[in-house]
Amino acid sequence: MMIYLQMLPSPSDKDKFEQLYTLYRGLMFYVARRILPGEADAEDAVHQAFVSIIENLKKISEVRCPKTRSYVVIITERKAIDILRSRSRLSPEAFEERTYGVELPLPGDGGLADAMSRLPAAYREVLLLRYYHGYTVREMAPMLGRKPGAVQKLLTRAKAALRKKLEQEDEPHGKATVF
Amino acid sequence: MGKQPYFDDAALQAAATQTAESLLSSLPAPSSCQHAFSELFLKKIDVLLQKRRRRAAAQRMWQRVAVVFLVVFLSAATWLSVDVHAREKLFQWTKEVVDKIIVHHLDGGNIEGVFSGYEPTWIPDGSTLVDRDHSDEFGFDYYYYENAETGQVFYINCNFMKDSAMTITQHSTEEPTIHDINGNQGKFYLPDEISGSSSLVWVDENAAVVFIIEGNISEQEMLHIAKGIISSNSTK
Repeated sequence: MMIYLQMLPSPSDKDKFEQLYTLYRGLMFYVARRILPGEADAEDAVHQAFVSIIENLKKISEVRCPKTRSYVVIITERKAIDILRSRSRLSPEAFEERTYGVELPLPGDGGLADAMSRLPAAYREVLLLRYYHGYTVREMAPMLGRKPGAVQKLLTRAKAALRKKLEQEDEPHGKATVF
Repeated sequence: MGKQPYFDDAALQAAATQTAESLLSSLPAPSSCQHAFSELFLKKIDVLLQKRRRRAAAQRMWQRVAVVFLVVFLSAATWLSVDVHAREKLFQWTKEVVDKIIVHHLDGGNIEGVFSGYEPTWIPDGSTLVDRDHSDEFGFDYYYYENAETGQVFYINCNFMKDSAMTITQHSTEEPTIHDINGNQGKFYLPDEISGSSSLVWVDENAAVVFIIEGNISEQEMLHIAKGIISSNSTK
């Protein structure tokens, strides 16, 4: 019986979203502005990101931790890029392959991590959500606003792009690690 | 053609961790990112927050209902199977204590009258009504208040005890303190270890209504609210 009573949500559950909002809204706007030129568009991306976060709130266990920070950054980047994509004349696949999102420094391993950080944003995001955050394809689908089949396809293409990137790096410089 | 690069899940996990760390290191600390958001944005977020609060309150209510049914089912089954006298009392007002839970119920249908609802005339300063539910058919009134600044929350539940209506509250192991609430005996229970909420329970037998106030507000505030609850009929 006590197990059922413990199911009752604590006040901290209902506050989680407000804590996320208070802590990360400025950072999310910063991320969105690095992709979108207009403030109004950037705010729209932040709002869209919060809509996605609220729908997937149970996936967040701790508000102040690197994984949650990374998660809100990825979701904001995705929403900002989705706004850009809605105005592009390119096909969705061509757009994905040409859009790099937030520029990040190379981790410096001279191999897989460097190659991953140089991938287009859509590929990098799906790899981070899968292999850093540990989400399944089914869990990632609502976060990315896609169907599970589309996410699986994206993940496959991301791995292929990663392999290609490693091959390219291996040939001219001989730096990439071949596992 | 060079050798095909191969990577397994473990290598991908290690690379993803390094990439995530690199991504985060390229961004400023959240506390240093300040932006004055537009009115439109704040309005849209406010709608989102309100929606979230309503959903959380509804979730709490339905979980509470589920617990009530579970407790009543288990306690009634045990009670009726072992106590002949209890079975005779089935059609009277009953109050049971099961573990740390109080259950008030009546399975009669011999109560006359209709439920017209109740409403508080006083609430603590700063409290805002974030959820409200009322049903003439099932005979209940539910108010849920929050104070965003102090973090205080409480709800008021008024249940018409007809057609197996029932209600519940949790309490600590301490004996309750007794108070007079407009001629009825009210019991105030100290905060329980699970929710941190105290509760005030009283029954108006003439009206066949059980009242509960539960939350993290003070005893005095609960009593003040309780004494100010009036029938909605008297305000029409």
